[in-house]
Amino acid sequence: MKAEYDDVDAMRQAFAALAATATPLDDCPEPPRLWAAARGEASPGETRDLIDHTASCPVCAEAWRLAVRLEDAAPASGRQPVRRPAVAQWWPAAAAAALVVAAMGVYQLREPAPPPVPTLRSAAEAGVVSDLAADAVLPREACVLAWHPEPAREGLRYAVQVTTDDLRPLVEADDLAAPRFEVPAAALAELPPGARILWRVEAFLPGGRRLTSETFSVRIE
Amino acid sequence: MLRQKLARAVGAVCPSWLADQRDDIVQVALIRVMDVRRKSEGEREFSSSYLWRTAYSALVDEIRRLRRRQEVTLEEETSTHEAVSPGPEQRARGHQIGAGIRSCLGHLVRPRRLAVTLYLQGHTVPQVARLLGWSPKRADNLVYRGLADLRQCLTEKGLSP
Repeated sequence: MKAEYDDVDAMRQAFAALAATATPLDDCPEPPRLWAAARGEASPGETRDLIDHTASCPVCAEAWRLAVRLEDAAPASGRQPVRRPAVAQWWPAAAAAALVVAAMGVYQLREPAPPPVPTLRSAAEAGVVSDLAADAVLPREACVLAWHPEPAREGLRYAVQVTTDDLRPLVEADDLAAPRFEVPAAALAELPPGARILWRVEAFLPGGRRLTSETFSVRIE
Repeated sequence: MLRQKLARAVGAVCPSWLADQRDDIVQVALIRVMDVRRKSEGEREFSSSYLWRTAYSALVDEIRRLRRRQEVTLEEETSTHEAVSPGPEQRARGHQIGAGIRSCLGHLVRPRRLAVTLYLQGHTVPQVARLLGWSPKRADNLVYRGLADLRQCLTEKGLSP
């Protein structure tokens, strides 16, 4: 891996050793917040804020390392799953969705019927619902994806991932306060007219729970 | 049973320089758990995860209390950590580099700072990607570029790890 270097161990040791002479800052987060973030259970926005804090607070950096060590030492029954990479989690399901979409295309040639919304997960599982019609056609200069949590909830933050129909990542956004995201026109520049894009939303609840949407699709004008 | 679980959690990660306080930390954690149980009128069941988190919170609170009061000196900490403690010159140099790293991190652009901070905390690139919700490629790129920025900043300060 290209980021591995001989001096990294020395830098890690020097960074860790700062804790021995440091004092906590006034705005140190409560330990459960560090615990959740270090275990991958916090929202990306919260995680980033806490990492920023540990960059300047050696005492909290030490607390972060302890949380990771405790995660490693915890008995299997007491461990919470570490959040998997959103992209990696999504691909197998998205691939299935792409197959569903393709299969639907073949089916429609033989027997025209109203196209169902291509989904990856059952509607019962979903906590986030698209506000767009199934296979809506959006202008590439104003490709606004919109959704809402169901049931309605306050104080959520959202992350969105958008790919091409063949699962090539186009754009990601996170820590969104509003349930909408405008895909930058530049991200769509190489797509031909009529191209389909897939999009998926994760909603982070204040308590750290996460809801994952189905994968939706829209077409670009 | 509760106490045993809490003791195991604290014992698993309690730094050696805190060994004298280990029982006190377990006791604090136990009191917190019992307090929650009392408020729930004995109804509440505690998962292992909850107990470990409570033990962790008690441990971190104690570390912060001691750090705030500077009750543990660097000498005490290193003497319990290592069979052969570094000499004063080596310690001073290590501290200088650590302070330089901290200062330089503050000057990195945020994505690189986040990536490098996690990397310096001992996380691997795939873990950095998972924690920050990035693709592995993006995480690798930001760690790589962030480390390059950090080295340059340290060099400008006359420091080299």
